[in-house]
Amino acid sequence: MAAESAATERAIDSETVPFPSTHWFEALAAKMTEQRDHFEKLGACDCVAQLTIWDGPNDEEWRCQFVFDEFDVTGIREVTVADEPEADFILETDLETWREMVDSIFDGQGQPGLDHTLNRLSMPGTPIRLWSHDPLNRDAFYRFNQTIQHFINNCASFTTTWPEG
Amino acid sequence: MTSVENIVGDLAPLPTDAMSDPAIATDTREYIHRYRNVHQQWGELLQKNLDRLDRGSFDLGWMDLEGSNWGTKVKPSSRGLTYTDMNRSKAYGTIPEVTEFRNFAPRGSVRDRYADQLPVIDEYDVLAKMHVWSDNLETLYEEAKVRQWNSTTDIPWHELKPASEDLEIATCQLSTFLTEVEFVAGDFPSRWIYRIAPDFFEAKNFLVSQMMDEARHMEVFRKRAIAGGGGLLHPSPAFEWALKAILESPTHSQGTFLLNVLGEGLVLSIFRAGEFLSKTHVDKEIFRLCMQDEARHVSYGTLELKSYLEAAPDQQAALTDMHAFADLGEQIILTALTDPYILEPLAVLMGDGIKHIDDGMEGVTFLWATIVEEYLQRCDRAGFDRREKCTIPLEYPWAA
Repeated sequence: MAAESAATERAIDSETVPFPSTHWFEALAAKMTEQRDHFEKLGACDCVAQLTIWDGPNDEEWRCQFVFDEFDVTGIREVTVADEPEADFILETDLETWREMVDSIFDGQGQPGLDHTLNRLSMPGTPIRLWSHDPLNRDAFYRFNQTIQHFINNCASFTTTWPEG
Repeated sequence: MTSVENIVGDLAPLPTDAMSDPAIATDTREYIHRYRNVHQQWGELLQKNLDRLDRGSFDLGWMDLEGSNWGTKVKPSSRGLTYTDMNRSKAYGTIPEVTEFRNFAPRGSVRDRYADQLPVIDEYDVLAKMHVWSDNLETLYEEAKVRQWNSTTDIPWHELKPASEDLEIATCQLSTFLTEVEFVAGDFPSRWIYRIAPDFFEAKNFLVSQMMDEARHMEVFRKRAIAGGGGLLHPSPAFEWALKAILESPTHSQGTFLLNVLGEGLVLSIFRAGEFLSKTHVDKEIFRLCMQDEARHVSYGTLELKSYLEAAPDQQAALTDMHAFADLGEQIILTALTDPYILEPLAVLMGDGIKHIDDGMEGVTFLWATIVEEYLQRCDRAGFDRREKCTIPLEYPWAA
Protein backbone atom coordinates (compact mmCIF):
# COMPACT_ATOMS: atom_id res chain seq x y z
CA MET A 1 0.00 0.00 0.00
CA ALA A 2 2.84 2.37 0.83
CA ALA A 3 4.44 1.93 -2.58
CA GLU A 4 1.12 2.47 -4.28
CA SER A 5 0.55 5.61 -2.27
CA ALA A 6 3.98 6.96 -3.17
CA ALA A 7 3.32 6.21 -6.81
CA THR A 8 0.07 8.15 -6.65
CA GLU A 9 1.89 11.04 -5.05
CA ARG A 10 4.51 11.06 -7.79
CA ALA A 11 1.78 10.96 -10.42
CA ILE A 12 0.10 13.98 -8.87
CA ASP A 13 3.41 15.74 -8.32
CA SER A 14 4.34 15.47 -11.96
CA GLU A 15 0.85 16.27 -13.13
CA THR A 16 -0.38 19.57 -14.44
CA VAL A 17 -3.94 20.18 -13.41
CA PRO A 18 -6.15 22.81 -15.02
CA PHE A 19 -8.00 25.41 -12.97
CA PRO A 20 -10.89 25.84 -12.69
CA SER A 21 -11.91 22.19 -12.95
CA THR A 22 -13.33 19.42 -10.81
CA HIS A 23 -10.10 17.56 -11.57
CA TRP A 24 -8.20 20.24 -9.63
CA PHE A 25 -10.30 19.59 -6.52
CA GLU A 26 -10.11 15.83 -7.03
CA ALA A 27 -6.33 16.14 -6.94
CA LEU A 28 -6.61 17.98 -3.62
CA ALA A 29 -9.03 15.35 -2.33
CA ALA A 30 -6.53 12.60 -3.21
CA LYS A 31 -3.83 14.42 -1.25
CA MET A 32 -6.18 14.82 1.70
CA THR A 33 -6.82 11.09 1.76
CA GLU A 34 -3.07 10.42 1.70
CA GLN A 35 -2.55 12.82 4.60
CA ARG A 36 -5.23 11.39 6.84
CA ASP A 37 -3.04 11.62 9.95
CA HIS A 38 -2.52 15.33 9.40
CA PHE A 39 -6.20 16.02 8.80
CA GLU A 40 -7.20 13.87 11.78
CA LYS A 41 -5.04 16.14 13.91
CA LEU A 42 -6.95 19.16 12.62
CA GLY A 43 -10.21 17.38 13.45
CA ALA A 44 -13.23 16.13 11.56
CA CYS A 45 -14.75 18.54 9.07
CA ASP A 46 -18.34 18.28 7.87
CA CYS A 47 -19.68 20.86 5.47
CA VAL A 48 -20.48 21.55 1.84
CA ALA A 49 -18.32 24.27 0.33
CA GLN A 50 -18.88 25.98 -3.00
CA LEU A 51 -16.38 27.93 -5.04
CA THR A 52 -17.69 30.33 -7.66
CA ILE A 53 -15.36 31.85 -10.22
CA TRP A 54 -16.97 34.82 -11.94
CA ASP A 55 -14.79 34.68 -15.05
CA GLY A 56 -14.53 30.93 -15.58
CA PRO A 57 -14.17 29.05 -18.89
CA ASN A 58 -15.67 30.95 -21.82
CA ASP A 59 -15.81 33.92 -19.50
CA GLU A 60 -18.85 32.42 -17.80
CA GLU A 61 -19.40 31.81 -14.11
CA TRP A 62 -18.05 28.48 -12.95
CA ARG A 63 -19.32 26.78 -9.80
CA CYS A 64 -18.06 23.72 -8.00
CA GLN A 65 -19.30 22.15 -4.78
CA PHE A 66 -17.24 19.75 -2.69
CA VAL A 67 -18.39 17.87 0.36
CA PHE A 68 -16.13 17.60 3.40
CA ASP A 69 -17.04 14.37 5.14
CA GLU A 70 -14.97 13.87 8.30
CA PHE A 71 -11.43 13.47 6.89
CA ASP A 72 -12.24 13.17 3.20
CA VAL A 73 -13.67 15.27 0.43
CA THR A 74 -16.36 13.53 -1.56
CA GLY A 75 -18.98 14.51 -4.09
CA ILE A 76 -16.97 17.01 -6.10
CA ARG A 77 -19.19 18.33 -8.86
CA GLU A 78 -19.84 21.29 -11.08
CA VAL A 79 -23.12 22.93 -10.13
CA THR A 80 -25.47 25.66 -11.25
CA VAL A 81 -27.12 28.56 -9.43
CA ALA A 82 -30.04 26.27 -8.64
CA ASP A 83 -27.74 24.08 -6.52
CA GLU A 84 -26.44 26.91 -4.36
CA PRO A 85 -28.81 26.30 -1.40
CA GLU A 86 -27.11 22.93 -0.94
CA ALA A 87 -23.84 24.64 -0.05
CA ASP A 88 -23.21 25.65 3.54
CA PHE A 89 -21.20 28.59 2.28
CA ILE A 90 -19.99 30.02 -0.99
CA LEU A 91 -16.63 31.60 -1.73
CA GLU A 92 -16.82 33.65 -4.89
CA THR A 93 -14.16 35.67 -6.61
CA ASP A 94 -12.39 36.18 -9.92
CA LEU A 95 -9.81 33.98 -11.54
CA GLU A 96 -6.96 36.40 -10.91
CA THR A 97 -7.51 36.38 -7.14
CA TRP A 98 -7.51 32.60 -7.12
CA ARG A 99 -4.40 32.55 -9.27
CA GLU A 100 -2.56 34.90 -6.92
CA MET A 101 -3.48 32.72 -3.96
CA VAL A 102 -2.38 29.51 -5.67
CA ASP A 103 0.89 31.13 -6.75
CA SER A 104 1.49 32.31 -3.19
CA ILE A 105 0.87 28.83 -1.83
CA PHE A 106 3.15 27.32 -4.48
CA ASP A 107 5.93 29.82 -3.75
CA GLY A 108 5.55 29.14 -0.03
CA GLN A 109 5.80 25.37 -0.62
CA GLY A 110 2.34 24.77 0.75
CA GLN A 111 2.04 27.88 2.95
CA PRO A 112 0.27 30.96 1.61
CA GLY A 113 1.76 34.37 2.29
CA LEU A 114 0.25 36.29 5.18
CA ASP A 115 -2.04 38.18 2.80
CA HIS A 116 -3.14 35.18 0.77
CA THR A 117 -5.15 32.97 3.09
CA LEU A 118 -8.83 32.33 2.43
CA ASN A 119 -9.73 34.06 5.67
CA ARG A 120 -7.61 37.13 4.88
CA LEU A 121 -8.93 37.44 1.35
CA SER A 122 -12.56 37.03 2.39
CA MET A 123 -12.61 39.00 5.66
CA PRO A 124 -13.18 42.43 4.09
CA GLY A 125 -15.74 41.05 1.64
CA THR A 126 -13.37 41.62 -1.24
CA PRO A 127 -11.65 40.21 -3.29
CA ILE A 128 -13.32 37.01 -2.08
CA ARG A 129 -16.97 37.24 -1.09
CA LEU A 130 -18.05 34.74 1.53
CA TRP A 131 -21.80 34.29 1.78
CA SER A 132 -24.51 31.81 2.56
CA HIS A 133 -28.25 31.47 2.47
CA ASP A 134 -28.05 30.74 6.21
CA PRO A 135 -25.73 32.65 8.58
CA LEU A 136 -25.39 29.56 10.72
CA ASN A 137 -24.07 27.61 7.74
CA ARG A 138 -21.76 30.47 6.81
CA ASP A 139 -20.23 30.08 10.26
CA ALA A 140 -19.10 26.60 9.17
CA PHE A 141 -16.38 28.37 7.17
CA TYR A 142 -15.08 29.77 10.46
CA ARG A 143 -15.51 26.50 12.37
CA PHE A 144 -13.56 24.43 9.83
CA ASN A 145 -11.28 27.14 8.52
CA GLN A 146 -7.96 25.43 9.14
CA THR A 147 -9.03 22.18 7.47
CA ILE A 148 -10.29 24.07 4.42
CA GLN A 149 -7.09 26.13 4.21
CA HIS A 150 -4.84 23.08 4.54
CA PHE A 151 -6.96 21.30 1.92
CA ILE A 152 -6.30 24.15 -0.55
CA ASN A 153 -2.63 24.39 0.49
CA ASN A 154 -2.01 21.00 -1.08
CA CYS A 155 -2.21 22.64 -4.51
CA ALA A 156 1.51 23.23 -4.03
CA SER A 157 2.06 19.54 -4.73
CA PHE A 158 1.17 19.84 -8.42
CA THR A 159 1.36 22.42 -11.17
CA THR A 160 -1.80 24.37 -11.85
CA THR A 161 -2.45 25.49 -15.40
CA TRP A 162 -4.64 28.48 -16.16
CA PRO A 163 -6.93 29.42 -19.02
CA GLU A 164 -5.20 31.49 -21.66
CA GLY A 165 -6.11 35.08 -22.09
CA MET B 1 -24.52 -4.72 65.89
CA THR B 2 -22.92 -1.74 64.23
CA SER B 3 -25.10 1.35 64.33
CA VAL B 4 -24.94 4.45 62.21
CA GLU B 5 -24.46 6.61 65.26
CA ASN B 6 -21.45 4.52 66.24
CA ILE B 7 -19.90 4.78 62.76
CA VAL B 8 -20.39 8.52 62.51
CA GLY B 9 -19.37 8.96 66.11
CA ASP B 10 -16.17 7.00 65.51
CA LEU B 11 -15.04 9.33 62.74
CA ALA B 12 -11.81 11.09 63.58
CA PRO B 13 -12.24 14.77 64.46
CA LEU B 14 -11.27 17.26 61.80
CA PRO B 15 -7.68 18.47 62.04
CA THR B 16 -7.42 21.56 64.17
CA ASP B 17 -5.73 23.63 61.45
CA ALA B 18 -8.75 23.11 59.19
CA MET B 19 -10.92 24.48 61.98
CA SER B 20 -8.76 27.47 62.68
CA ASP B 21 -10.71 29.62 60.21
CA PRO B 22 -13.98 30.51 61.98
CA ALA B 23 -15.94 30.47 58.71
CA ILE B 24 -14.68 27.00 57.84
CA ALA B 25 -15.39 25.78 61.34
CA THR B 26 -18.96 27.07 61.20
CA ASP B 27 -19.59 25.59 57.76
CA THR B 28 -18.13 22.27 58.82
CA ARG B 29 -20.25 22.08 61.97
CA GLU B 30 -23.36 22.93 59.96
CA TYR B 31 -22.50 20.29 57.36
CA ILE B 32 -21.94 17.60 59.96
CA HIS B 33 -25.16 18.52 61.73
CA ARG B 34 -27.08 18.35 58.47
CA TYR B 35 -25.79 14.94 57.50
CA ARG B 36 -26.07 13.51 61.03
CA ASN B 37 -29.39 14.93 62.09
CA VAL B 38 -31.37 16.27 59.12
CA HIS B 39 -30.66 13.91 56.23
CA GLN B 40 -31.69 10.59 57.76
CA GLN B 41 -32.13 8.51 54.61
CA TRP B 42 -28.49 7.79 53.92
CA GLY B 43 -28.06 6.50 57.44
CA GLU B 44 -31.09 4.26 57.12
CA LEU B 45 -29.79 2.87 53.82
CA LEU B 46 -26.37 2.30 55.32
CA GLN B 47 -27.91 0.47 58.26
CA LYS B 48 -29.99 -1.69 55.95
CA ASN B 49 -26.90 -2.63 53.96
CA LEU B 50 -24.86 -3.38 57.05
CA ASP B 51 -27.66 -5.59 58.35
CA ARG B 52 -27.71 -7.48 55.06
CA LEU B 53 -23.97 -8.00 55.15
CA ASP B 54 -24.30 -9.14 58.75
CA ARG B 55 -26.85 -11.74 57.71
CA GLY B 56 -24.58 -12.90 54.86
CA SER B 57 -27.33 -12.43 52.29
CA PHE B 58 -27.48 -10.88 48.83
CA ASP B 59 -29.96 -8.38 47.43
CA LEU B 60 -29.62 -8.85 43.65
CA GLY B 61 -32.25 -6.16 43.03
CA TRP B 62 -29.92 -4.68 40.45
CA MET B 63 -30.52 -7.76 38.26
CA ASP B 64 -34.21 -6.95 37.95
CA LEU B 65 -34.63 -5.64 34.39
CA GLU B 66 -38.24 -4.53 34.68
CA GLY B 67 -38.53 -0.92 33.62
CA SER B 68 -35.11 -1.00 31.99
CA ASN B 69 -34.34 -0.57 28.30
CA TRP B 70 -32.50 -3.87 28.22
CA GLY B 71 -32.05 -5.14 24.67
CA THR B 72 -32.25 -1.71 23.06
CA LYS B 73 -29.38 -1.54 20.61
CA VAL B 74 -27.74 1.60 19.33
CA LYS B 75 -25.86 1.52 16.07
CA PRO B 76 -22.56 3.35 15.68
CA SER B 77 -22.07 5.52 12.61
CA SER B 78 -18.94 5.50 10.45
CA ARG B 79 -17.14 7.80 12.89
CA GLY B 80 -17.94 5.88 16.07
CA LEU B 81 -20.76 5.97 18.57
CA THR B 82 -21.95 9.55 18.96
CA TYR B 83 -24.71 11.05 21.08
CA THR B 84 -26.63 11.56 17.84
CA ASP B 85 -26.44 7.78 17.23
CA MET B 86 -27.43 7.07 20.82
CA ASN B 87 -30.36 9.45 20.76
CA ARG B 88 -31.93 7.83 17.70
CA SER B 89 -33.30 5.26 20.11
CA LYS B 90 -36.50 6.37 21.78
CA ALA B 91 -35.39 4.71 24.99
CA TYR B 92 -32.33 6.89 25.41
CA GLY B 93 -33.05 9.81 23.12
CA THR B 94 -36.33 11.04 24.59
CA ILE B 95 -35.44 14.32 26.20
CA PRO B 96 -38.07 15.68 28.58
CA GLU B 97 -39.36 19.23 28.10
CA VAL B 98 -39.24 19.55 31.87
CA THR B 99 -37.48 17.05 34.10
CA GLU B 100 -38.50 16.10 37.60
CA PHE B 101 -35.27 14.28 38.35
CA ARG B 102 -33.02 16.43 40.50
CA ASN B 103 -30.48 13.72 41.24
CA PHE B 104 -27.70 11.86 39.48
CA ALA B 105 -29.75 8.91 38.17
CA PRO B 106 -29.00 8.78 34.43
CA ARG B 107 -31.71 9.34 31.84
CA GLY B 108 -32.71 5.89 30.55
CA SER B 109 -31.86 4.02 33.75
CA VAL B 110 -34.26 2.12 36.06
CA ARG B 111 -34.83 5.10 38.29
CA ASP B 112 -38.56 5.61 38.83
CA ARG B 113 -38.78 3.04 41.60
CA TYR B 114 -36.06 4.79 43.59
CA ALA B 115 -37.63 8.25 43.41
CA ASP B 116 -38.47 8.28 47.14
CA GLN B 117 -34.98 7.26 48.20
CA LEU B 118 -32.85 9.37 45.90
CA PRO B 119 -31.59 12.68 47.25
CA VAL B 120 -32.83 15.96 45.85
CA ILE B 121 -30.01 18.21 44.71
CA ASP B 122 -31.42 21.64 45.44
CA GLU B 123 -28.86 23.30 43.19
CA TYR B 124 -30.33 21.56 40.14
CA ASP B 125 -32.87 24.24 39.35
CA VAL B 126 -32.61 24.49 35.56
CA LEU B 127 -35.23 21.88 34.83
CA ALA B 128 -36.64 22.99 31.46
CA LYS B 129 -35.11 21.87 28.19
CA MET B 130 -35.91 25.25 26.58
CA HIS B 131 -33.28 26.96 28.74
CA VAL B 132 -30.35 24.84 27.59
CA TRP B 133 -31.15 23.01 24.38
CA SER B 134 -30.13 23.71 20.81
CA ASP B 135 -30.71 21.40 17.87
CA ASN B 136 -27.00 21.44 16.96
CA LEU B 137 -25.82 20.57 20.46
CA GLU B 138 -24.80 16.96 19.84
CA THR B 139 -23.02 17.81 16.58
CA LEU B 140 -21.14 20.71 18.15
CA TYR B 141 -20.08 18.57 21.10
CA GLU B 142 -18.60 15.93 18.78
CA GLU B 143 -16.93 18.68 16.78
CA ALA B 144 -15.49 20.25 19.90
CA LYS B 145 -13.96 16.96 21.01
CA VAL B 146 -12.16 16.28 17.74
CA ARG B 147 -11.03 19.84 16.99
CA GLN B 148 -9.18 20.55 20.22
CA TRP B 149 -5.67 21.99 19.97
CA ASN B 150 -2.86 22.67 22.37
CA SER B 151 -1.55 26.17 22.93
CA THR B 152 1.71 24.76 24.24
CA THR B 153 2.66 22.79 21.13
CA ASP B 154 0.47 23.89 18.22
CA ILE B 155 1.70 27.49 18.13
CA PRO B 156 5.24 27.99 16.73
CA TRP B 157 6.28 30.12 19.71
CA HIS B 158 9.97 29.91 18.87
CA GLU B 159 9.27 31.77 15.62
CA LEU B 160 7.63 34.74 17.35
CA LYS B 161 9.39 37.98 16.48
CA PRO B 162 7.67 41.18 17.63
CA ALA B 163 7.41 43.69 14.76
CA SER B 164 8.00 47.04 16.49
CA GLU B 165 7.52 48.42 19.98
CA ASP B 166 4.25 50.26 19.32
CA LEU B 167 2.76 47.24 17.56
CA GLU B 168 3.95 44.94 20.34
CA ILE B 169 2.45 47.20 23.01
CA ALA B 170 -0.85 47.15 21.09
CA THR B 171 -0.65 43.36 20.73
CA CYS B 172 0.01 42.95 24.46
CA GLN B 173 -2.87 45.29 25.35
CA LEU B 174 -5.22 43.38 23.03
CA SER B 175 -4.00 40.11 24.54
CA THR B 176 -4.71 41.46 28.02
CA PHE B 177 -8.26 42.38 26.96
CA LEU B 178 -8.79 38.96 25.40
CA THR B 179 -7.51 37.27 28.55
CA GLU B 180 -10.17 39.16 30.54
CA VAL B 181 -12.81 38.13 28.02
CA GLU B 182 -11.87 34.47 28.19
CA PHE B 183 -12.21 34.37 31.95
CA VAL B 184 -15.88 35.28 31.78
CA ALA B 185 -16.45 33.10 28.73
CA GLY B 186 -15.32 30.12 30.81
CA ASP B 187 -16.88 31.22 34.08
CA PHE B 188 -20.37 31.83 32.65
CA PRO B 189 -20.90 28.19 31.60
CA SER B 190 -19.35 27.03 34.88
CA ARG B 191 -21.93 29.09 36.78
CA TRP B 192 -24.70 27.14 35.07
CA ILE B 193 -23.35 23.66 34.46
CA TYR B 194 -23.94 22.54 38.03
CA ARG B 195 -27.45 24.02 38.03
CA ILE B 196 -28.56 22.15 34.89
CA ALA B 197 -30.36 18.91 35.69
CA PRO B 198 -28.42 15.82 34.53
CA ASP B 199 -31.25 14.83 32.17
CA PHE B 200 -29.75 17.50 29.90
CA PHE B 201 -26.28 16.01 30.03
CA GLU B 202 -25.68 16.78 26.35
CA ALA B 203 -25.88 20.47 27.18
CA LYS B 204 -23.69 20.04 30.27
CA ASN B 205 -21.10 18.20 28.19
CA PHE B 206 -21.05 20.85 25.47
CA LEU B 207 -20.66 23.59 28.06
CA VAL B 208 -17.73 21.70 29.54
CA SER B 209 -16.14 21.66 26.08
CA GLN B 210 -16.75 25.41 25.85
CA MET B 211 -15.01 25.85 29.20
CA MET B 212 -12.03 23.89 27.89
CA ASP B 213 -11.95 26.07 24.76
CA GLU B 214 -12.05 29.25 26.81
CA ALA B 215 -9.37 27.97 29.18
CA ARG B 216 -7.15 27.37 26.16
CA HIS B 217 -7.88 30.84 24.79
CA MET B 218 -7.09 32.46 28.14
CA GLU B 219 -3.88 30.44 28.19
CA VAL B 220 -2.82 31.34 24.64
CA PHE B 221 -3.42 35.10 25.02
CA ARG B 222 -1.63 35.18 28.37
CA LYS B 223 1.27 33.38 26.75
CA ARG B 224 1.21 35.69 23.72
CA ALA B 225 1.41 38.83 25.88
CA ILE B 226 4.40 37.49 27.75
CA ALA B 227 6.19 35.48 25.04
CA GLY B 228 7.22 38.52 22.99
CA GLY B 229 8.99 40.09 25.95
CA GLY B 230 6.26 42.68 26.49
CA GLY B 231 3.76 41.51 29.06
CA LEU B 232 0.23 41.80 30.29
CA LEU B 233 -0.84 45.44 30.34
CA HIS B 234 -3.99 47.28 31.43
CA PRO B 235 -7.36 45.79 32.37
CA SER B 236 -10.37 47.69 31.07
CA PRO B 237 -12.67 48.79 33.92
CA ALA B 238 -15.48 49.72 31.52
CA PHE B 239 -15.40 46.37 29.80
CA GLU B 240 -15.12 44.45 33.05
CA TRP B 241 -18.54 45.86 33.96
CA ALA B 242 -19.84 44.33 30.74
CA LEU B 243 -18.26 41.01 31.69
CA LYS B 244 -19.87 41.20 35.13
CA ALA B 245 -23.25 41.83 33.51
CA ILE B 246 -22.82 38.73 31.35
CA LEU B 247 -21.85 36.61 34.34
CA GLU B 248 -24.84 37.77 36.38
CA SER B 249 -27.48 37.27 33.66
CA PRO B 250 -30.71 36.15 35.35
CA THR B 251 -31.30 33.04 33.21
CA HIS B 252 -29.11 30.69 31.21
CA SER B 253 -30.92 31.58 27.98
CA GLN B 254 -30.47 35.30 28.55
CA GLY B 255 -26.82 34.90 29.47
CA THR B 256 -26.20 32.60 26.51
CA PHE B 257 -27.67 35.24 24.22
CA LEU B 258 -25.49 37.93 25.76
CA LEU B 259 -22.31 35.85 25.89
CA ASN B 260 -22.53 33.49 22.92
CA VAL B 261 -24.53 35.45 20.35
CA LEU B 262 -23.55 39.03 21.08
CA GLY B 263 -20.26 38.90 23.01
CA GLU B 264 -18.66 35.92 21.32
CA GLY B 265 -20.02 37.07 17.97
CA LEU B 266 -18.01 40.24 18.53
CA VAL B 267 -14.92 38.30 19.60
CA LEU B 268 -15.35 35.93 16.63
CA SER B 269 -15.14 38.93 14.30
CA ILE B 270 -12.02 40.16 16.12
CA PHE B 271 -10.46 36.72 15.72
CA ARG B 272 -11.37 36.76 12.02
CA ALA B 273 -9.83 40.18 11.74
CA GLY B 274 -6.68 38.69 13.24
CA GLU B 275 -5.54 38.52 9.63
CA PHE B 276 -5.23 42.32 9.74
CA LEU B 277 -4.35 42.70 13.39
CA SER B 278 -1.46 40.23 13.30
CA LYS B 279 1.93 41.11 11.98
CA THR B 280 3.42 37.63 12.21
CA HIS B 281 2.31 34.17 11.15
CA VAL B 282 2.47 33.15 14.81
CA ASP B 283 -0.22 35.64 15.79
CA LYS B 284 -2.31 34.73 12.75
CA GLU B 285 -2.20 31.07 13.73
CA ILE B 286 -3.40 31.93 17.24
CA PHE B 287 -6.34 33.93 15.91
CA ARG B 288 -7.34 31.30 13.32
CA LEU B 289 -7.36 28.47 15.83
CA CYS B 290 -9.34 30.52 18.35
CA MET B 291 -11.77 31.54 15.59
CA GLN B 292 -12.74 27.92 14.95
CA ASP B 293 -13.61 27.35 18.62
CA GLU B 294 -15.44 30.64 18.96
CA ALA B 295 -17.66 29.90 15.96
CA ARG B 296 -18.93 26.76 17.73
CA HIS B 297 -19.97 28.81 20.75
CA VAL B 298 -21.74 31.37 18.58
CA SER B 299 -23.50 28.58 16.71
CA TYR B 300 -24.74 27.05 19.97
CA GLY B 301 -25.92 30.42 21.25
CA THR B 302 -27.88 31.15 18.09
CA LEU B 303 -29.87 27.93 18.14
CA GLU B 304 -30.25 27.97 21.93
CA LEU B 305 -31.96 31.35 21.57
CA LYS B 306 -34.18 29.91 18.83
CA SER B 307 -35.01 26.88 20.96
CA TYR B 308 -35.92 29.08 23.93
CA LEU B 309 -38.13 31.46 21.98
CA GLU B 310 -39.96 28.61 20.25
CA ALA B 311 -40.50 26.49 23.35
CA ALA B 312 -41.45 29.19 25.85
CA PRO B 313 -44.99 28.60 27.14
CA ASP B 314 -45.89 32.24 26.51
CA GLN B 315 -43.90 33.03 23.39
CA GLN B 316 -44.93 36.68 23.19
CA ALA B 317 -43.92 37.31 26.79
CA ALA B 318 -40.60 35.51 26.24
CA LEU B 319 -39.95 37.65 23.17
CA THR B 320 -40.82 40.86 24.99
CA ASP B 321 -38.59 39.97 27.94
CA MET B 322 -35.70 39.03 25.67
CA HIS B 323 -36.01 42.29 23.75
CA ALA B 324 -35.93 44.23 27.02
CA PHE B 325 -32.86 42.25 28.06
CA ALA B 326 -31.21 42.82 24.66
CA ASP B 327 -31.88 46.58 24.86
CA LEU B 328 -29.61 46.70 27.90
CA GLY B 329 -27.26 43.90 26.80
CA GLU B 330 -26.39 45.63 23.55
CA GLN B 331 -25.49 48.81 25.39
CA ILE B 332 -23.34 46.82 27.78
CA ILE B 333 -21.48 45.13 24.94
CA LEU B 334 -21.06 48.52 23.25
CA THR B 335 -18.59 49.35 26.01
CA ALA B 336 -16.14 46.91 24.44
CA LEU B 337 -15.49 48.65 21.19
CA THR B 338 -15.80 52.15 22.61
CA ASP B 339 -13.29 51.70 25.42
CA PRO B 340 -9.93 53.23 24.44
CA TYR B 341 -8.02 50.34 26.03
CA ILE B 342 -9.62 48.04 23.47
CA LEU B 343 -10.46 50.30 20.56
CA GLU B 344 -7.11 52.06 20.27
CA PRO B 345 -4.86 48.98 20.21
CA LEU B 346 -7.15 47.60 17.50
CA ALA B 347 -6.73 50.82 15.51
CA VAL B 348 -2.95 50.80 15.96
CA LEU B 349 -2.74 47.20 14.75
CA MET B 350 -5.16 47.81 11.87
CA GLY B 351 -3.24 50.91 10.83
CA ASP B 352 0.13 49.20 11.19
CA GLY B 353 1.53 51.54 13.81
CA ILE B 354 0.71 54.42 16.16
CA LYS B 355 1.48 56.95 13.40
CA HIS B 356 -1.35 55.49 11.33
CA ILE B 357 -3.93 55.15 14.08
CA ASP B 358 -6.36 57.30 12.08
CA ASP B 359 -6.08 54.93 9.13
CA GLY B 360 -6.61 52.08 11.55
CA MET B 361 -9.92 53.58 12.60
CA GLU B 362 -11.18 52.88 9.10
CA GLY B 363 -10.49 49.20 9.72
CA VAL B 364 -12.24 49.40 13.09
CA THR B 365 -15.22 51.05 11.41
CA PHE B 366 -15.40 48.21 8.91
CA LEU B 367 -15.00 45.63 11.69
CA TRP B 368 -17.85 47.30 13.58
CA ALA B 369 -20.18 47.09 10.58
CA THR B 370 -19.33 43.38 10.20
CA ILE B 371 -19.95 42.69 13.89
CA VAL B 372 -23.34 44.42 13.91
CA GLU B 373 -24.55 42.90 10.63
CA GLU B 374 -23.52 39.35 11.60
CA TYR B 375 -25.18 39.83 14.99
CA LEU B 376 -28.43 40.93 13.34
CA GLN B 377 -28.25 37.99 10.91
CA ARG B 378 -27.84 35.53 13.78
CA CYS B 379 -30.76 37.13 15.63
CA ASP B 380 -32.86 36.77 12.45
CA ARG B 381 -31.85 33.10 12.28
CA ALA B 382 -33.01 32.61 15.86
CA GLY B 383 -36.38 34.22 15.15
CA PHE B 384 -35.40 37.28 17.18
CA ASP B 385 -35.77 40.31 14.92
CA ARG B 386 -33.58 43.09 16.28
CA ARG B 387 -33.23 45.09 13.08
CA GLU B 388 -35.68 47.80 14.10
CA LYS B 389 -34.90 47.62 17.80
CA CYS B 390 -31.11 47.34 17.86
CA THR B 391 -29.66 49.90 20.27
CA ILE B 392 -26.13 49.59 18.91
CA PRO B 393 -25.36 52.12 16.20
CA LEU B 394 -25.13 50.40 12.82
CA GLU B 395 -22.25 52.67 11.89
CA TYR B 396 -19.33 53.25 14.18
CA PRO B 397 -19.71 56.52 16.11
CA TRP B 398 -16.36 57.91 15.00
CA ALA B 399 -16.02 61.47 13.77
CA ALA B 400 -13.17 61.00 11.30
